Amino acid sequence: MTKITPVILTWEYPPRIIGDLAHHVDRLTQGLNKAKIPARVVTCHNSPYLYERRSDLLELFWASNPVEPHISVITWCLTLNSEIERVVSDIYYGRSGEIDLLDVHDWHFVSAGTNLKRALGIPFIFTVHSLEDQRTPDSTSPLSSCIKGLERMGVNESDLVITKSDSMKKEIIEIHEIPQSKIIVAPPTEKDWIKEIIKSYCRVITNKRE
Amino acid sequence: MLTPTVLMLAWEFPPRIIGGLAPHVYELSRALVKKGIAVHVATCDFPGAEAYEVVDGVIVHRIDSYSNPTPDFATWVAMMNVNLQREISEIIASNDISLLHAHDWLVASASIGLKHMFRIPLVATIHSTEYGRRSGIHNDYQRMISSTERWLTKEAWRIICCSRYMAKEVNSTLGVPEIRTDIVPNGINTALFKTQINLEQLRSRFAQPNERLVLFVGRLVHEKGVSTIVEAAPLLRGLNVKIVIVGEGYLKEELIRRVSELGLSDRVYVTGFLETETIRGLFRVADVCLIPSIYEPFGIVALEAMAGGSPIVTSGSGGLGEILENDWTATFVYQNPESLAWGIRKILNDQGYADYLRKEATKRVKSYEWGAIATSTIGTYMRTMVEFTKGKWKPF
Repeated sequence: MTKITPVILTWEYPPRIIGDLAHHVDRLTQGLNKAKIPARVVTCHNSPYLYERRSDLLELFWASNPVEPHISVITWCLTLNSEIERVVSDIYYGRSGEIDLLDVHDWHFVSAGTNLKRALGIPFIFTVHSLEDQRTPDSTSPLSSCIKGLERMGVNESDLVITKSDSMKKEIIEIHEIPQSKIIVAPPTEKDWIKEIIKSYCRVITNKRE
Repeated sequence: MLTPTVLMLAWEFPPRIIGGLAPHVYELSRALVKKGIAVHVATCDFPGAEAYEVVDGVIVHRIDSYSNPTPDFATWVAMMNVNLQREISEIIASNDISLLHAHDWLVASASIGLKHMFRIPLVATIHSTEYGRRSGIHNDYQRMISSTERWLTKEAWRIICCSRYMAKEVNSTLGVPEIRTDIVPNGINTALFKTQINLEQLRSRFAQPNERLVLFVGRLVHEKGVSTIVEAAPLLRGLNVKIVIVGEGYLKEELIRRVSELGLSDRVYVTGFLETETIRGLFRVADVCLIPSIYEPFGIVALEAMAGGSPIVTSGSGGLGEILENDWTATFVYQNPESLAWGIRKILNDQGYADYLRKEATKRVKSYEWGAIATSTIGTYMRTMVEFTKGKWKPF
């Protein structure tokens, strides 16, 4: 099997649990580790930057927001993105560029994923758990518009989009008008879910190498 | 190679002019190019302006600055930074940029992200602080901006301030050690004050031939001390003066009301906004220029008055006290109407004294030409590059 060294960007990971995303990424890292694939998770935490090695195959990098306080989720998230870029860059330069791909979960760190791809040439996968259009249907608020803009950036700039269901795939295609071939469906409830994820990782890495 | 290829990040650059930052970046970048430094400027787009152009050797990249609605200014700034950073990544990669220069907190997020991803050093100019602009930090919105300024100064290799006063403010409000700060004043292009225009005709728009013209130019806000001028006006009885107050700001209506209340509508003229060319002409025809500021990080208006040859009466607050000297290039007064009126009389009643101030100020302002400012800025760049070259923090 191709050697894979992914870095996962997520705004929640245990013990920071806001919704289901933390549990999902936890299951993902366990699944990758079971397949002997090392996982590095870059996430946020309200304390100074910390490093935690939970096992030989699981490393956690906790970034804290360099700016406090904030007036909106957008300002909070986007200043944190620069810190995420710093942490990922430190991993990249500290380990001889040994990052094969970024797996960015939901819109929060799409900016970091996009910039790291453009600056360092690391391909990125955008894993979409839900869309702003579903979370706040009919919302035309400026804040919602910013989030939709970031989701659009993620869909357009990423090398591949992973989502959980066929209906979600259909919705992403309808909203963002991207080709079917750019999205794969990997329902976490299915037995071979992790195999599908690894296959997607390999596909992106192979495309990059070619 | 120590001589850097610089990329400046600024949220305004001509023709997009919001405040003093745009002309600063415009003049500085052109002067740097004249000194042999390759300069790119990444800035926000502007209707009708080219996305890419070369201005006197400066390579300007105008980037879509996010035009959708946002709930507030700070959220727009955050989205604008996302767009800037995304495009600048490719500019850096394809132009061998070796140093970033950020102007103010508005581009902090993009500058810092780029610094780390490309591992190139960052220099920041702090033109003013949120603490200084608001006379303190009073709410979470201001606290967030101040915190962003702190973040930028922490990440920057060196910090450029326009005056010792400003460096002290950056030190006390943002916690920046003075050892990391360089004082590089703002500059002026004095040639712009020598263009051929009909000065007599211009003067006649604002004052009668027999009236002495007393000028104020600036934002009509509390920290500029403009209210003191209106209160000093009744104390100038006996002098045939016309006080011309140029600028916009939240105090405008209050000033006009107060002028009317004092029965001085024929003596004090609040003009509102005027074209830059007209303002430069006014500095050349004014008999006195008033700069009674309460808060002034630098005081570029002092350089403009000096370049225009207008004798200055000033409070000498903040950076003004570093540009001007009492009885040499200006008359210093206290921040009250009586003292200001005294300063005005001193100049208007003694032509020899006025001529002396004018002559010395015209000599002194030459040291603020942009060429000299560019040389100092290059000093900061070179020092940064030397330290960076010696260090271990580098790309592959």
